[in-house]
Amino acid sequence: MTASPPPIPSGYLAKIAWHWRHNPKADLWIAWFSIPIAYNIMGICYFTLTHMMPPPTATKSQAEVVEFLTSFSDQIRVGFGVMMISLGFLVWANGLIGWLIMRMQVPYAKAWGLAYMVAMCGGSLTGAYMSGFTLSLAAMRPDRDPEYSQLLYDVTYLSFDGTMGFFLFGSLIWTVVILTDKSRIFPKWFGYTCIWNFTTEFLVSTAMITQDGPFAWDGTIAFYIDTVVYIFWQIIYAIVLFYAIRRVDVPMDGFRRARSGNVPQAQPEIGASLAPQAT
Amino acid sequence: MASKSPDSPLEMSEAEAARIERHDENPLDGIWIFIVGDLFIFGSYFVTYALWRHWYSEEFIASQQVLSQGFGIFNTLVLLASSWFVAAAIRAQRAGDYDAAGRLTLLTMGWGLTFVVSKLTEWVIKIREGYTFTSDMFFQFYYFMTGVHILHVLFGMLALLRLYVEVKDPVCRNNDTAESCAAFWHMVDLLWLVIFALMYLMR
Amino acid sequence: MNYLFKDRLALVWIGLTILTYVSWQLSAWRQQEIQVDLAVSMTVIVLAVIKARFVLRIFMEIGHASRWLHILSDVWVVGLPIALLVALTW
Repeated sequence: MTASPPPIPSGYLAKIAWHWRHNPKADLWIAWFSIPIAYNIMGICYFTLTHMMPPPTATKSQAEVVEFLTSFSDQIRVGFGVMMISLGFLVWANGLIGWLIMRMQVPYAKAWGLAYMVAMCGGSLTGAYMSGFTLSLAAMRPDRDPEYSQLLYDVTYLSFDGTMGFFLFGSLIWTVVILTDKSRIFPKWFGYTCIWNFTTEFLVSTAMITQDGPFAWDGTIAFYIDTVVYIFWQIIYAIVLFYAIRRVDVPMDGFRRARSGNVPQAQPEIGASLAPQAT
Repeated sequence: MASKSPDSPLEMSEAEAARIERHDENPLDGIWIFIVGDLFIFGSYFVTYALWRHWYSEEFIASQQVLSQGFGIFNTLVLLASSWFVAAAIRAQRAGDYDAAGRLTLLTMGWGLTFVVSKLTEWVIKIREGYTFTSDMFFQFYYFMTGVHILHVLFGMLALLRLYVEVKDPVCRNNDTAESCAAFWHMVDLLWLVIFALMYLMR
Repeated sequence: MNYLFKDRLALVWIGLTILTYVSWQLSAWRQQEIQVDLAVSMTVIVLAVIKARFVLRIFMEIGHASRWLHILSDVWVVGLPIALLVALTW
């Protein structure tokens, strides 16, 4: 016989407390919740405060750049300040996904998981940190030489688009890994939809070439369509990840053993019977 | 599929487990969700193109005259034939005639390769003539659309390779995967039909 | 190779080729004039989506997918020319 944890109480707060104390996947769920929290904070900052999304035009003259930086100086700095904190959450999410990929039944699963994490780190380095630093830098002293201001402005938006180079490989890794995974933690259709993300992000590369029109960094195709597809995909991905956590087998390590009472070795892996048979 | 383990209190109910499993109900939906979504993404590109064409119609029509319709027609016929062949390959595969299916898949890949070569030749000729991505708005759209399309063609070649392996190797034969690969290739053809109309034929 | 002639495949392919030829001739007929011809443009687009629907239904066998997916594909087939017409006359 095993000592099982107490039954789930009915009260709202009591339920949360129960999950906090006994849920065998609590660590995974915390990592999962960091995704909606971090992305929402980042999204709100990007759209309302920092003026990263939608981006201003690439054809701004030096005087216009200075005016832009002067009028939004406070907003930009506050926005990036908040965003830098929220970015920390994404480290958790990144680890969660890397771990999930490593647990898939794929040849070289560890390498794929690590490659994914590296790709995401590269993406956040260029897209979030670098663009955040350069635009805050420009906004900090808008009265400096306009030429430098314009330089920082250009660096910001180009490095922001540079993220896509990394994210593109992130979604390519998703595609390969999900389609070849025998344990079917993720549904196959999600693997295919990663190709949407791959192709739309591929097209952002035109922003490096043109300054004006639909292919510039503020263009219909390079920015708006890409962003709509990305956000749509990101929502699907959070939902799919939710179900993946439900069906993944967690190892019976010390952390989990302590939480589910004194469980002897005979305890099967939690959720093991849920894993679908390989087809 | 719901767990019966009484030791883990967090297991799903039958209904919840069924909902998670539902994506396996129709195994072909995987590729179809992708294809229909991709059609809409391409649809948004087509509408963007139409808007710009409407705003700068003179520039667009003048540049459109430069394109060689011969290449366009040839590429269309090549892709239509490839679609026909891969559809036949799937019929053969279903009938259990794996040799014929393999041959037809190889021929389809031959058509695909012909398309890639002909498209690249067309690009090289245009670039030699001095029409590059930055020449004007029409050529931006031209290189963009044909570029995204050729990206899909390359993915499609991988799908065909998968189909060939599927057909040749008795271990991994699976009608659903084979049909998914073929459907991807048909999508490449289908998108080209619209791109051809928009880029080469519109007046 | 008789699979090429199964299930009306060859017939559909010939039909698609003829439609391609027709739309090409339609377009070539107005090649010389450098001005917008909405009627020709829309005819060509409608012919293209008709071809696309044949590919969807007979070559791709969208009938094997779930119902909501064919409905969505038909929405695309009908919606695309309408959206393009709106964009071209905006």
